[in-house]
Amino acid sequence: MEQQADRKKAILWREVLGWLLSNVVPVITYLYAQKAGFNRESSIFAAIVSVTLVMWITEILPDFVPGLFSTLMFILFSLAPNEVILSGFASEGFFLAVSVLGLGTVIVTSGLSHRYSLMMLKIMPPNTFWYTISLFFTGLIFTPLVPVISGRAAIVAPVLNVIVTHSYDGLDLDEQTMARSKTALFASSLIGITLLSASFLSSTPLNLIIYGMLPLQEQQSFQFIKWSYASFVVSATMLIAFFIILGLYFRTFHKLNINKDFIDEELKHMGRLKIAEWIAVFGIVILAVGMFAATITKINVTWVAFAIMFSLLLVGVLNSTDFRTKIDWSFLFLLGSMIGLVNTMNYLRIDAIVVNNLGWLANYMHSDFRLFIILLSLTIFAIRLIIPMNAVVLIFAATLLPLAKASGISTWLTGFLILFFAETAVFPFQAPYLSNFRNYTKSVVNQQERGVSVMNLLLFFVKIAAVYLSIPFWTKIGVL
Amino acid sequence: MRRRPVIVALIIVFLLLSATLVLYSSITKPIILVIHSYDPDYAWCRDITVGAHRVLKKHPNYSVKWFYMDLKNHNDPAFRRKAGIQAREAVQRWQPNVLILIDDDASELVGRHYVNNPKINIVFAGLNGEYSPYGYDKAVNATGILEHKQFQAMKETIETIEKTSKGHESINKSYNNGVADRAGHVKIMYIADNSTSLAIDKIYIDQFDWRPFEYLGSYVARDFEEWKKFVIDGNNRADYILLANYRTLKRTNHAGYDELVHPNEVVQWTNTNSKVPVIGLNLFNVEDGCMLSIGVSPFEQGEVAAAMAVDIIDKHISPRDIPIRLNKQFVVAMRHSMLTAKGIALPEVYEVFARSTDNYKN
Repeated sequence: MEQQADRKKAILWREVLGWLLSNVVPVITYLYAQKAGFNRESSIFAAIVSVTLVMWITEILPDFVPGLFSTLMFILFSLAPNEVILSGFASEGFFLAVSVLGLGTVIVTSGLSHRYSLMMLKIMPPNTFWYTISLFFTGLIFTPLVPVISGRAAIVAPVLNVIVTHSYDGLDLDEQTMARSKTALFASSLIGITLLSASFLSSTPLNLIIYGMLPLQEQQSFQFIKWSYASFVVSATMLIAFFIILGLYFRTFHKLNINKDFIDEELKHMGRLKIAEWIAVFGIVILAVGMFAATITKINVTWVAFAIMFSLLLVGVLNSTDFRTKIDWSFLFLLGSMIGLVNTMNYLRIDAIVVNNLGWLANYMHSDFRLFIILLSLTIFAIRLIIPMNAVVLIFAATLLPLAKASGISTWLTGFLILFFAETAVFPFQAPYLSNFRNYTKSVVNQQERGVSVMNLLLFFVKIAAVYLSIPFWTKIGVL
Repeated sequence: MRRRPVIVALIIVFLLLSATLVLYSSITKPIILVIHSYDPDYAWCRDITVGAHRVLKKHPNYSVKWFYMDLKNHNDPAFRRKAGIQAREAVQRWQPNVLILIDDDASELVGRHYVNNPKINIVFAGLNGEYSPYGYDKAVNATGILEHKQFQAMKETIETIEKTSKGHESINKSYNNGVADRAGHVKIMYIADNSTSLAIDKIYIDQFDWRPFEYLGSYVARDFEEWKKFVIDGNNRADYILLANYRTLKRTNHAGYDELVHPNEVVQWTNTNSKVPVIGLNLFNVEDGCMLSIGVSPFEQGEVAAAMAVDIIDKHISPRDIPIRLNKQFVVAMRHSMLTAKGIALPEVYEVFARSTDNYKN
C-alpha cells in the first residue's frame, strides 16, 4: 500500500512538472528563437516542437497525443501547406505500417502463433538448453511477423509459464540453481523478443516510424530484405554473443521433467490447421514472395503488404472488430504526425539550421564514424535512463537524420543505430512495454532481476562491438 | 467466416482475377529510371526534371523512378563509390526498360556498367565532353544528348556588351572608338571549382577560339580561399570573368572542419569583390546571384532525353538507330538591377528572351 502511495505521488509530481513545463518551455523557446534571428514560422515551429518534446519526455499523455497536437498546431498556425503537414498520413510508410499490423493481428488471432508454441514444446527435448534456445527463437521468429513487442511478449509468455509450471516437479535442484535456471529461461524469452528488433523493418512501430522519416530514395532502398541484409553482421554478432553470455553467465543447463500429455491434449483440442491459420500462412508466404520477386513483379513491397491486408479483410479473416480494436491506431496517428513533423521541418528549412548549428557533430559523423558510434551509444544509454524509448528515438532521429544527409552518411544507418542502441533496457522501468510480460510471468517465474539486468548491460557493450564489426561489411555493400 | 462454398469460390476467383490483372499490368508497364548525378534541389537537375516531365506527362502508362547521387554536395572518393553502388542497386531493383543518366558522373559510375546490356537501354544527357570514355561509342544500347557550353554565344554577348555598354567601368578603362579598336585588349578569364564536369568543360573552353579577345586561361580553385585569390587577381588582369560552377568549394570553419560554401555566398562575394563583369555559363548562375548568364538549356536536355526514351519504348527503335545529339538551345538569364549598377546595357532582345523563359530578375 505504501509503495502504491509513493508511486501515485511520483506520478502526480511528474504530471505537475510536465504541465508546468508545457506552459513555460514553448514561451522561452519562442523568445529564444526570435532572439536568435529565426523567422516567425521557424520560431513557432520550435515552440510547438518543444511542447511536444516536454509531453513525450514527462509522459503526461499517451505518445500519439503530443504528435497530433503538433500536427494541429502546424495547421492552425499555417506553418506549411496542409498537404505537407499531413503528408505522413498519405505516405507509403503509413500504409506499410497499417498492412504489417493487420497481418500481425491475423497471425495472433488465428491461433497460428499459439499452435507453433505448442508444437515447439512438443518437439524439443526436455532440457533447459533446448528450451532456452526454443524460447529465444520463438521470440526471434515472431520478431519480423508481429510488429509490436508487447504482441510478441503475449505469444512467448504463456509458453514460458507452461515450461516453468510443468517442468520442475520432482527435480532434485537446490533453490539457487532452480532460480538461476528459471532466470535463464526468462532472460532468453525476454531478450528473444527484443534483441533483433532493430534488424527487421517490421518488428516494431518505431522501426516503421524511422522508415517513414527516411528520404524517399532511402525508403526505396531499405525495404524488408535490404534492411535485414544490411543489419546481418550486427544480428549474427548479437546472436552468437547472446548464447555465449547465456552459457557462461547462467551455466545451468540440466534436464527438465515436463509432462507432455497436456500439450497433446491442447493440440488435439485445437484440431487441424484452421482456414484462418492457412490464410495467415499464405499471407506470410505471399509477402515473402512479394519481397523476393519485386524486381519481376515491379510492385513495391508496401503495396504487396497492403494487398495482403486487403485480402484478409475481404475473406473475413481480419474482421471489422479486430481491424478496429487490434490494430494500434494510436501508433499509426503517431507515425503520420511524425512524418508530417519532419516534412514540415524540411519545408521550413529548419533541417538546414540544425545542420548549421550541429556542424561539428556532422563532421564527426563524416570524418570519424567510429568515434561517433561511441558518442551516440553512450549518449543514448545515459538518456534512456531518464527518458522513455519512443521519445529518445524520435528526438535523436529528428536531429540526426538531417545531419546524416548533410554529411553524406546513410540515413538508414543512422536510424538503425538509434533504434539499435535505444532498444536497451538494463532496468525494468526502462521498458514499460514489457511490463505485461513481467506481470504475466511473475507468479510462476521467480527470476533474478539482477541477473537479467547484468545480461542486458553486457549485451549493450556487445552492441557497440557488433556495430564496429559491421563497418567493413557496410563499407563493402555501399552503406558506409 | 462461415460462408457458403459458392461464396468462398467466388471470392477466390475475384482475388485471383484481380491479382492476375494487377500483375500483368505491372509486369508489362515500361519503367524509366532517371539517375541524376546531383541532388533534386540543384537548379540544373530541377530544370532537367521539368523538361523531362514535359514529355513524360503525356505517357501516364510509364512508371518513372528517380535516383539522385548527390555528388555536388559530397564528392570525396568514398562517397562516390557508395553513390555508385547504390545507384547500380536501384538499376537492379527496378530493371528499367530505359535508364536515363544525367551528367557525366552518372555515366561514369553507372552507365559504363550497362554498356551492351541486352535488357537495358541507356539514354544519357548532360555529358560535358565526349561519350567515348564511358564506352558509348561501342555500345548498341546507348544514345543521348551532349551538353557543350555555348562559348560562341558567350563571345557574341561580350562583343555586344563592348559595343553597347560605354558606361561599364572596365570598358571605360581603355575604351576608344568601338569594339574593333578595343577587342584585342579585352581579356577574359575563366574561374572554376574542381568538379568532374568542369574538368571536362575546361578542355573545351581552353580550346575555343576567343579571338579577337585575349583568353587568359582557366583557373581551377581547390577551395574558397583560392577562388577569392583568383577573383582578386582577375581585377588587375581581366576585363571579364566567366564562371560556371562553384558548388564543390570548401572552407575551414571555426571548429577546424571543412564545409561546403553555399553557392549564393560564393556569388555574392564574387560580385562584391570583382571590379569586372562576372558572367555565368550556366542558367542557374543568375539564380545564385550573377548578373548575367548564357547557359545550355537544361529543359532541352530533359526533353530530348525523355523523347528518346519514348521512342525506344513506344516505337521500339534501337538506341543505336537514334543519333547522338548536340544541344541546340541556350537560355539567357539576367538580373536587371546588377547590370544597371555595372553600367551594362544589352539590346532589348536579351531582356525579351530572358523574360519569355522566366529568367529575368529585377
